[in-house]
Amino acid sequence: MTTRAIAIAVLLFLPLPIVIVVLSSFTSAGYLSFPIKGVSLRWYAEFLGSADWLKVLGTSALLALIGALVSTAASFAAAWAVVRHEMRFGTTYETILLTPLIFPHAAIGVIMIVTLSGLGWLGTFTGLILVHCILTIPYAYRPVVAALRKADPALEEAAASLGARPWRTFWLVSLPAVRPGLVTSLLFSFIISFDEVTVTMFLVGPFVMTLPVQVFSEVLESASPIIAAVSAALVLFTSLMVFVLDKVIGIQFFVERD
Amino acid sequence: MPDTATLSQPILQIDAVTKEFDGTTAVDRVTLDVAEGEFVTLLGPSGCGKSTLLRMMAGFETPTSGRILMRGEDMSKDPAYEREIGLVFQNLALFPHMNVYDNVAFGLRARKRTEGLDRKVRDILALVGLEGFETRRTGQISGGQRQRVALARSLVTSPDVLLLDEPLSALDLKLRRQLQVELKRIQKETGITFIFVTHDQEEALSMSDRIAVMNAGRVEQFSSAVETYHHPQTRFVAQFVGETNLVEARAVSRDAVGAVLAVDGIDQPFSVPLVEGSGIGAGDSVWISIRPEYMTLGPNTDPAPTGPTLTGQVVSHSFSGSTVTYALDSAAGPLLAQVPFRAGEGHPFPNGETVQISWAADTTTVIPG
Repeated sequence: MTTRAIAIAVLLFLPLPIVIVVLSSFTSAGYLSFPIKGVSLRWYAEFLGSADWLKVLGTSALLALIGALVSTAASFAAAWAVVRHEMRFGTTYETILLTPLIFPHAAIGVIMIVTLSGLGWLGTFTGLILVHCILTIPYAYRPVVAALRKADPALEEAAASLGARPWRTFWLVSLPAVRPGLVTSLLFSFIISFDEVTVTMFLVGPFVMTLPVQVFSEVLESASPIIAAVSAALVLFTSLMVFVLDKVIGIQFFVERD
Repeated sequence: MPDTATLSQPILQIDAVTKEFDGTTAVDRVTLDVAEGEFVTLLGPSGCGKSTLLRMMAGFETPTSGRILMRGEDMSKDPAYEREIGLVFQNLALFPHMNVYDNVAFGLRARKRTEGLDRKVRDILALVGLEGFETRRTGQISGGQRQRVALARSLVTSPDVLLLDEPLSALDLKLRRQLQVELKRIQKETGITFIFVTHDQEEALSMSDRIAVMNAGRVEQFSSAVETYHHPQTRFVAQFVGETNLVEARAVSRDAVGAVLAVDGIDQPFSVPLVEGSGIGAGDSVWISIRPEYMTLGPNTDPAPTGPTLTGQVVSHSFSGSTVTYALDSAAGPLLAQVPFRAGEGHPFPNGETVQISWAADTTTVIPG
């Protein structure tokens, strides 16, 4: 009975901070507080009316979009090489791709400062794309490789025996066969990139800023309820993406082994 | 069929083809000619190289040596998509994201033969009995229907040769029999050359014009179904195609029809016909193959019939409808005899009984030792 109670308490506790943030975003007061004093949408209006906030929102969205496309394309190429060409050292190669998952993010941040300064990309959008690709590839790789392993290579031979040249086979047979994996990779790496703070903090500058990092620095400076409004919007957006993922592919796709 | 094959230009020639994988030889100097419109079966146990040979014809593997010619032109190195060869896969490999119609239309579109595409697709679906299934997903139809889609998809482009890689092996026996008959009908109606791979000798015998029996990468015998069954040229073919009795014998001498053989347990040497050029001479050790259905059994008290005769004991017997098969023990080794059986007759020979076993000398096939 007690374990059951603890389990229920934990389950209630997990989403509680989110609920509190979302609720406090509807405050009419000028400072962050809970319970809220009065109900209003003024902070949402302020968020959407602020050119600065919209600019970082745009940056984050574009960064996540480009990052997701590049990561997914790279993951597909890597998975194709590992699965279809039975590459030597394929598993070693896979492990290297997955290291950003276990490597401390603060360390990656420091390493990336050095690397990007060397390239002259520190504090630039290009630099952020590079770093976000590295961070999202582990998430993009797994769904693609799982889908490729499930796909039947005889399908491509069937297409060839029917007279389809390699490109036709690729577009009409190979790609559609792994479409769910590709969609998952795109959505997943988009979410990861869109929410990324730890590493990005090290790399932003006066010319480029992302939404989550902006939220973080606002929290340090002030306690304006606009942060709650922005956070609530992020939560809503992420939930929508996860909902779409679940509808399109089914969330168990992530939990399943290859 | 086998005779016309040698007269006209063969549509497909396999010329001393060898395929090695990392030092092991999967296909070993195979030579075959296939005539246009013929139904040829590659028959053999798994691992005999039949699928590798098929994949080389399709263009998924390149021969290590030797050539594959289509209408006299070497195509050994042509990519699969440039060959006019269809392939029905063992697992069918239907495109799961397309409906039946798009699966069938794929080949015509890939080969840019879109003129009259709709009519061609509908005609071929009618031929395989799948009218009205155009918009079905491949996951929504039965196993037999999926077979038909795979067949229609490969036939619609009218390939010069259609390869079939054990396409019926996953089906239950009844459906398999039904589709065997239908495959044969479709082959006749379209006139397309079929090369069919199977490990099922009954399937091979019932469908093929000619059978290439393969073992350990080599073709042991390439002959008509009837010839393959009645005149096996090697011990492997004799044992793999149908049930048989293989008995060791010695050639005593040659005579007008063939050879005079002596067998342990048979009093009189007997004369058997030989195929031309068998090269068997006096003193050679040979094997003889006698199909169980040519064996005759009689009570031991009967006068000895003409032809090779010996005595043996009934070890066991099994009833299978129209026949009874006796397992016998004799001086020539264990033997099988399949004798006709009609209701009301009862088993004439109980287990343990000593019987007279005989057969007609001219139903004996001699195999070099």
